[in-house]
Amino acid sequence: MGIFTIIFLWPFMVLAAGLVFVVFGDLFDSGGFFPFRLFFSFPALVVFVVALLMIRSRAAKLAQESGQEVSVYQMYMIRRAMLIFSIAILFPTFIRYLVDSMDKNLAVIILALLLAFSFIVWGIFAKSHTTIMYGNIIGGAIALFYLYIQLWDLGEGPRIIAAAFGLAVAVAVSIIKLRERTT
Amino acid sequence: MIVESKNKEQTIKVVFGLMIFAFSLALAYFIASYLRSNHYFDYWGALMIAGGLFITIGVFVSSIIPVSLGFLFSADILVLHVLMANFGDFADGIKVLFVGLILAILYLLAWSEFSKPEFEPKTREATPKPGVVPQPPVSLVADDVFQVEDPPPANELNKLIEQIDLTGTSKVTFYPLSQPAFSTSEPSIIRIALYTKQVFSKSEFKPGELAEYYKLFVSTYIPTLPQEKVKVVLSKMSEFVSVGGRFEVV
Repeated sequence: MGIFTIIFLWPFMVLAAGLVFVVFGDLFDSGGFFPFRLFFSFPALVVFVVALLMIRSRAAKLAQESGQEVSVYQMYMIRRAMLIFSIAILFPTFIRYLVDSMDKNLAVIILALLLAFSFIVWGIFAKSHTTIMYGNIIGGAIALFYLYIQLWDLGEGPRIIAAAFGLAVAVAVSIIKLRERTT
Repeated sequence: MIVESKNKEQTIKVVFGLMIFAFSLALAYFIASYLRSNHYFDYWGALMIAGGLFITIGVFVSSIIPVSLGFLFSADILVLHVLMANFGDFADGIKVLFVGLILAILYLLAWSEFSKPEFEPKTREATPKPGVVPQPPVSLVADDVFQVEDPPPANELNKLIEQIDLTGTSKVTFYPLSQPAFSTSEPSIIRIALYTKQVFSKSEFKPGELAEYYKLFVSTYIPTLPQEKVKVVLSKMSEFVSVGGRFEVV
């Protein structure tokens, strides 16, 4: 790893993970006397830190079983977990902000739907990049959940579009995946 | 003794990094508070400028890792604090761009840093059985960001070959079939030849007999020679493997 990457990798990953809690606070802030962002963000941060500690201890156990160097394997697993977490939360956040910035326009929602499905499909087929795989599938699923709620609120026509889109993608992916297994 | 001094060095680095982190953060907040209380400058603006300054300093002193990381983590805290307080006031378009940029960099990181294969268990067996092609141990260890100065650990195959005694030997000569012979007195090549002889219990091979072994060996062994010599050796060895022949250590 180059020195540049080493210097910037951890600070950037802390920034990205911190941004997740910033957007949590922004998305769930209802204002008022007691800012909801603090109420939600701080416990979420505690849960995140506890999860990282659990990953660290699990990584130590796995490293000992497989004969790897413990501290190196722990750092690797923590970096990976932080990256998956950041991608999985920031992607649906990006979609949400994109839709909000265009006043929930139907065309933008459909574009976002296409993007979300593309990322999920990418994740399904990215077998050699497990970080991208987990990040994309989880992030894409959350984004799809949000987008389908938006489409539901827009009326019957958008609901039909949403269902048709989902069906088309599911059929296409199933054909490709099942063909892989039978050949 | 060596491990203790290494731990001590790591501890000193961490302590200095933490000191720089704490003092730089304190300085930024004290200056911002002073400017706000005297109405000279906006509080959040001052913190962002301090964050930008710390990032610049962190880049310039990147050769001294604890100092650089101290400033960069300090910049992280400042930027995140400003975002936490003001993110809701940004226009949606700005939010999209900002989050999109961070996401793009994350994907680049995921692609370049984590596209390596998963960790695989190290093989425990070090001594090859005679007449059996050994499976060189495959060990993929991710670099640790705080141990950049340490050399990577030599793998099992290199260690095995280094242990071979060269007493009484001075060179190895290869006699490829229908090709001119070549020799070398390079100790690492002599060791590799002796290792091969130990594995197969012979030093004469048919064309292609060593192909599988050669492929595994080259993918595992870490060359100790300079790059130009490695290229010459690989070229000669692959030729020898392909046409067959014998070698002799004298």
